Amino acid sequence: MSAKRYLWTGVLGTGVALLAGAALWLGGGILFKGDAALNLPSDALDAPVVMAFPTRETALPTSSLATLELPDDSAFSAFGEPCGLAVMAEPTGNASVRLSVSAPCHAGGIVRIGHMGLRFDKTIPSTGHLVIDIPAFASEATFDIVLADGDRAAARVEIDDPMPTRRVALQWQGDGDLSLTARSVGNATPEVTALGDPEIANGWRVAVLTVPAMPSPETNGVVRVAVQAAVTDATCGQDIAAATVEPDFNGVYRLTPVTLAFPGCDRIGDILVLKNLLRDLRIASN
Amino acid sequence: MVAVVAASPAFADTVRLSSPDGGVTIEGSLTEFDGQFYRLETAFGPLTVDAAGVSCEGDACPSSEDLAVTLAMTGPPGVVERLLPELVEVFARREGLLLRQAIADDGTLSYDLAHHDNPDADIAHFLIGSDAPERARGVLTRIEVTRSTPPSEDRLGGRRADILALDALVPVVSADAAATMVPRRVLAQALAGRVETWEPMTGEDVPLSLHLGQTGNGTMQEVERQLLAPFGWRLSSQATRHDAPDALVDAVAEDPFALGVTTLSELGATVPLVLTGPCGYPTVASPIALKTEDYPLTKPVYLIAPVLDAPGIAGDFLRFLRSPDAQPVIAFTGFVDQRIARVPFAVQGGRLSNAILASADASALAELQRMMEALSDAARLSVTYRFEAGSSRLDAASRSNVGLLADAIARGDFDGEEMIFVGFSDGQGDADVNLRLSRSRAEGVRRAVASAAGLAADDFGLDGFGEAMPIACDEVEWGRSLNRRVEVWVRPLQR
Repeated sequence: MSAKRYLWTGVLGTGVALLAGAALWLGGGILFKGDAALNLPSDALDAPVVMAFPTRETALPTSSLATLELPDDSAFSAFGEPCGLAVMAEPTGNASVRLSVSAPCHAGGIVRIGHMGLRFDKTIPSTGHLVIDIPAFASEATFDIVLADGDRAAARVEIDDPMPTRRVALQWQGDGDLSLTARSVGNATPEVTALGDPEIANGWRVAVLTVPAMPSPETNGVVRVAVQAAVTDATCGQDIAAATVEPDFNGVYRLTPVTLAFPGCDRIGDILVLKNLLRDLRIASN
Repeated sequence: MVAVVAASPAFADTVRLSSPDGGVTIEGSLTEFDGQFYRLETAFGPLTVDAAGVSCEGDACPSSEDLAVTLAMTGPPGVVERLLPELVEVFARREGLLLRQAIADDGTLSYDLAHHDNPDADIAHFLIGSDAPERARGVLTRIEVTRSTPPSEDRLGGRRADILALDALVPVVSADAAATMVPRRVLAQALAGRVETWEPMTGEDVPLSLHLGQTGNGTMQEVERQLLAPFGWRLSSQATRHDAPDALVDAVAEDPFALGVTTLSELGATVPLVLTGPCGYPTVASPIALKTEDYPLTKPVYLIAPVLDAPGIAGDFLRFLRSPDAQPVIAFTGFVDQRIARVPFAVQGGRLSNAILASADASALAELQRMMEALSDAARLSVTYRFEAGSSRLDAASRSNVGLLADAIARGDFDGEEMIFVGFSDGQGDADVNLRLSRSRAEGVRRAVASAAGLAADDFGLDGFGEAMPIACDEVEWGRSLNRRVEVWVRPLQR
């Protein structure tokens, strides 16, 4: 499988911001606690989330690699790597992308990863390097990442596999104990990918359901998709913010914001099964 | 679980409308308010009252600050779970509106629509589900999508019925089943529990497990009406009954010895059986066979909405539902849309060979030959006109097809082409009489379409071939009613 690769490596914050980030890290390393993740600067991510793709992204913020060579020798990580933020995307087949985030001076911090309107939060490991496989929702896939101090970077990758898959996704925020379930009838084989981190308070999480299309001409099946949500003391009586991504009649993936209204706290322990939040996927050779 | 508002006047939505002098007071349950008229269910029946002339008292009265329009939509499972949500989402994106979906713990859906530049001020609430009318507040319009044949217009009380989509009853089996075909009579026997093995269909004497929906569900009522009533039979009491249509097809898909009945829009992983008549003529449910109504168990899905323009964005949505723009969305959700399709003469082979086999004498063959000469360079349009049983009145789908074809002509879809209305009859009675009958039916349809398109009847061609090309068995009434038809053919204008 051949793939053309585009790579943007960006340091979009200023040198001052980088220094400030490094100073915060050195000064205790407790960048995020409790609701801190809520305060992530996310002006771009909170823009109206009506998506229309595949589109050709034209104006991705970029900067030259040269800015990585920082003159100030105080901007190094505990391992001696220069501070800064870089992101790289490469196709891994099956319409997925491996995203490599380097933020040596933000180990333990939270990074918000956005892809075509979806977003999820991850904790940067102690190495300062995060590698994550993400199912893509466009053949020309863009990814943007934001750190708590406002530093951001973006990457784009062109996936040459002719998107041989059908996907749906659910995105939600906070402590809602949500999951995407897929029951296969016939011989389709669905896979669920969980993105995000349940340990991050009020973090965004994403679940992606992938059905490889047409593994053989005999494939005839339907995947019944449901969202399961537990009524807990954290969710009862609450409205949980979420979003769904599904292909529309033109095959264009669309994101729709949705509010999940949980029942009252007298029903703690119940599991809600919401069958009509996402459409079932029908895989038919005829 | 939830009663329809109109059927329960004692509900909490009771209002009192009074004239300014207090001389006239009407009490009833408020079923609809479109900004201009109150519609009430009263002890005297439904009443429509001009809002300008009365004051409204009661909790259900629309408040002056709630200016958002509310559209409450009800319908059968596949319609409220897939068709209507998809149509709402596509409509909102086309209009450039901000769309927020909400789902309650029982799965009922609602949408808030707002302008992007004022996201907090909802301009409309679209509610979908059986209890939608009860959740509604403010300026309310109600629409209903139904599989049942609606009553005639004068009994709809200020509402109109339009065909929203097409669907059909379909006998289905697992992809691993041995059977591929079932005669209609054998299907009825199996559904009634009078045939309990696969022997008549496959020759194998293995037990048949029957899967049906609950008695009283709309699809099962149609099965009894269309398939069993002609024989005076009822659905078998031995069948496995399912609450939800998806549970039914999932059970059938997983059992190679199962037989079920579902709708084309709800196939799941099952495979439709080819349906045959007593003398052959296999037909299988497919979008084109539903559009032409050549598949005998075709059933329209109706939209019942107020005749008067609904207010604001609700009115725009209702116009969208009836527009060409909604058609690809309807097809995407598994229903059959009403776009006019073309079937080239070359792929009519099955129909022609059936006709040649059925030709009893030389004159019928000569008629067939004349038809092939007349139409060999033409394509058949999917719009087909059929008639109510024992009548020259067009059936509901065909009446709707008059407007559809006229609109397409007016849009210029057939510019540069010659359009020919071609009549056919069943095989009962004298061949010459049938020939005249088929021409006069074609003449009637031509006149109706021309008049709806604002054109002269002479602008279109006309032909009739009597009983020359049956598409179903003349031995049974349902076959004869399929054969009595007017087809529409087009070919490039001769220069």
